[in-house]
Amino acid sequence: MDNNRLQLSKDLISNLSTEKNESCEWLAKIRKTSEKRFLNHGIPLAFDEEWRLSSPDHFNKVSLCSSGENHEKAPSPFEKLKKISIVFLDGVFSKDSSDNLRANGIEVTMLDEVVTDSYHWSKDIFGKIEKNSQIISKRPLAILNTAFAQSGVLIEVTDNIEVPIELKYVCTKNNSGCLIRNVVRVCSGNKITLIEHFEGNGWSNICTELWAEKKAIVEHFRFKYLSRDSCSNTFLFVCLQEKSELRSSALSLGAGHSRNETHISLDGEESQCSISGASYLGEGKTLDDDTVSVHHLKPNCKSRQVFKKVQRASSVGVFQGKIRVEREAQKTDGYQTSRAILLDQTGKFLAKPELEIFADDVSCSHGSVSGAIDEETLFYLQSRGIDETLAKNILILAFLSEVFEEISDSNIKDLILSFTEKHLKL
Amino acid sequence: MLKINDLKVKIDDGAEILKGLSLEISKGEIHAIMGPNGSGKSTTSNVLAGKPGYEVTNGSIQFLGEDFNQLTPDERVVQGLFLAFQYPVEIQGVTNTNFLRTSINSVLKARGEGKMSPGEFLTKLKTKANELGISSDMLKRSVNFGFSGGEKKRNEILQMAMLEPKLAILDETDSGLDIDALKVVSSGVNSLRSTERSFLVITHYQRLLNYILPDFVHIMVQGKIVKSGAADLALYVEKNGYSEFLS
Repeated sequence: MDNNRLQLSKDLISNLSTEKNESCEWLAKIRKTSEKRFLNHGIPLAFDEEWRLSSPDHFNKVSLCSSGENHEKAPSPFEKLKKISIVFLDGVFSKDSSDNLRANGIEVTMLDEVVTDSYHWSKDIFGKIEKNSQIISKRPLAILNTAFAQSGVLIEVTDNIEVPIELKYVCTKNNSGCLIRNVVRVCSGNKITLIEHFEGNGWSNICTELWAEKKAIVEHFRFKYLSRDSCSNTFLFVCLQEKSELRSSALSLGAGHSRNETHISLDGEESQCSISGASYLGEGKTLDDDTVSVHHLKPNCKSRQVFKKVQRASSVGVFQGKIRVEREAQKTDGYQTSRAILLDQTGKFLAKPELEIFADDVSCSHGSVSGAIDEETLFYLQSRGIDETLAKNILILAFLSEVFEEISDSNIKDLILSFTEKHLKL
Repeated sequence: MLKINDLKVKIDDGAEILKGLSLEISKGEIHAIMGPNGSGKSTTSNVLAGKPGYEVTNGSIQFLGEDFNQLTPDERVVQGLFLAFQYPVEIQGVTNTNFLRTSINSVLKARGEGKMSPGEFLTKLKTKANELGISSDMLKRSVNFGFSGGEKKRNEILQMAMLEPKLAILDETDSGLDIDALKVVSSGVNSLRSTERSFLVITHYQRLLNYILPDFVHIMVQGKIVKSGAADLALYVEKNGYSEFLS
């Protein structure tokens, strides 16, 4: 590694080292090795292959101040949804804002409560899926998270959990920030619906590792409603065992710089995943990046990726989607599409689909399209008395709603649709 | 009601399509424009509806005394114009019912009238849809998405029936219709005929005019009207073709 990168990496972690809680031995060990791994990789720089389309500068500027002040509550699509909320304020678990976490079939532990050296189920997962994801794409900021995140939640699911679990991350101020690490294990044949909800300002690096055992079902939804000044880097690392299923969908309606990195290992036969995301960020130099990798390791697995972005006024949308099919993973069915609407000449959409296929009996397709709103369709709406602004918003909703169709939880789907309608003043 | 005077229009890349079109339509009248391919019939309907991509270089369009050329397409609808498209557009992700509700409420709002109540809207929609043989399934589906040619045209007439325009332009509404669909569409149009409402029917063939009987027929050739007459002019053209009007 060049000296410049090494120095920058050392500078970055020098701010973080002091805050470590080392009371759990196995955790301390993983963190220590991860710190070394981080220094080996070094922080991402603009010329790295993974960062050619979106600058890493904002994501590298770690800021972990906590203000803990009250903030103005933003509207939420999930207000009326029956759920169990786990709230982090500036990276710190807030018991007052959270629901009672005792429920049948679910065990919830805060990461900073794992103090004993005795065995904890998360020991076998923590950092492991993140580490495996590095084989496909380099993600040094996820290693940083493994090494330094002090708070987060560990959730073990041992039954079918009907009520969604909402992880809500609120940053109250521009200079507040957080590093959060969650680990979720869904035991054989069980089901969970997990919502990740981002609100407020600040800088955040939030990573969730998810282990789905045989025949487990995971519904995941990520909702970002952040301010223009925010910088939000999220990681979702999933390992799917035999016949398990992940359905992950996302909507970003606000953020300054946002990068969602998703890595799925299809590590059991007949497992499947669908990953989708819709975004319509604000005006100005916003960045909305989805970097996805799907690793087909076993035969007869299915993966599906659907991403849709609306770009306007200097905003940049990025989609990087990689599908790797190992030699053993015969009969793989992989699908990927990314599409963008550019509302004006200054909005940009950059896409990099990649397929790496080492098996010979697979079906994999990918496509990427971007363009302006169709003039003929716009005229059709106007010729029915609908003014141009409203007509455009109707077409934006219609465009994004293909992603909403991917949400299999109908309650969440309806809430997201009506929230987006309101957001677009429809 | 509508007064077009010596209208010259070119498309954005420069070719002149309308070369001095004049036409006057009064309240309650049905006018038909017939003409060969490329004579400017569809351009006429597009320009009247305010479609972008055309430049008016001369003349004027007045609708109820107002200079139409200054208005956006949606403002023209608020004034009472309706264009039934030759090729209705498919809009995936917007249901037919939501589309109609937004359309009607937009027009009412722009006219300074209150929104239609959901109950009133649905009753009206159901009645009009029944008359046109439009199933409730079609109302729930995305606008025109996967509709047959006949279903799309019936959907256009449904929109017209809901919006109750003062002047409706039917742009080649008969194209792509079999005889049964043509009858349904025509009776839909005829049920909207009134002394207060005018129609401009644009067509290649006389066939449609058997079902929608016009008061006046105009022959359009090379961007202007070269002959006007009563309904029997359509029969004459059907028999003799357009060749005698081509100079």
